[in-house]
Amino acid sequence: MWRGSVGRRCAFLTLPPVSASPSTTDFARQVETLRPQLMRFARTQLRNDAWAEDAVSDTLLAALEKPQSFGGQSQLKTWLVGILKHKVVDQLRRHTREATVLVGEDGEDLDEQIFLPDGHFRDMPQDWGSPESAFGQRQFFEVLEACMDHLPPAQGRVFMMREWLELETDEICKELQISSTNLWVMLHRARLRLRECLQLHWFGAAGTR
Amino acid sequence: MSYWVRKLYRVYRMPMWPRRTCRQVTELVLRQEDQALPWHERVAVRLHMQICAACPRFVQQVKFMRQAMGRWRSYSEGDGA
Repeated sequence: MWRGSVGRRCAFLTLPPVSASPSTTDFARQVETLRPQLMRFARTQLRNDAWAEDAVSDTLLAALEKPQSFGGQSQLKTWLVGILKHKVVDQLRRHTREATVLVGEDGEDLDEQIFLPDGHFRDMPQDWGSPESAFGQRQFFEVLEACMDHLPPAQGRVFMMREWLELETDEICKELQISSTNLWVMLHRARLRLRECLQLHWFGAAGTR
Repeated sequence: MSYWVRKLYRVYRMPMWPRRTCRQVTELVLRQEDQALPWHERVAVRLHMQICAACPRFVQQVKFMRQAMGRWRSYSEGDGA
């Protein structure tokens, strides 16, 4: 696709070239101020700065090419995130081979740490109480984001594809060309890890507070 | 309902049926997040929940995480962050 290649050539520019009528430059400035936030999303999903840079540049370029398709009925950020999701999938598709390589990742078996050999829990799972009290707090989402960022890259990618891009599991298998068994294992581990991380850094800390 | 579950459990406890451990049940519970389970697995999970104190807690935690991810999506893509 020609648009992809243009996006990459323009990746080093801070502002993609646009015609200089006052309304479009204003729009461009607004779009540009959202770049750091888009970068953070892309980085969380892709776990690779170069790919994230490409995805965000493609997004901004697409947005500036067609400002008229932004109806204004939703927030600008929501609209841009919608475009970004498509560009992120494009990037994943382009880098399928590298995206699913498990470089010595997750050698330790998390199951072994949680369960006894006979299949019982080592420690009783803690009662996490009512979700509403946590969801009211900004720090909770910061902890959650940090936990997602600390997932091993391949696990993090599939987990984010499922939870942020909201793809169905068979779509993820198709995009990344992995078997469904492989995907189950990765999602299973990612979820167990996320649980451990929340237990340790949110509920563990909240207990002592 | 609980009466029938208990009654079923007595049948299920007969030595010919394989019994699920907590480890196997948590695996099924996590898989249920992405995929519908076949009926016999659902029954196995349900029955295990009747006799286990730890697994219902685990289910609650998984539910919590599901809700948290939903909230995070709207929080981070909306005006937050």
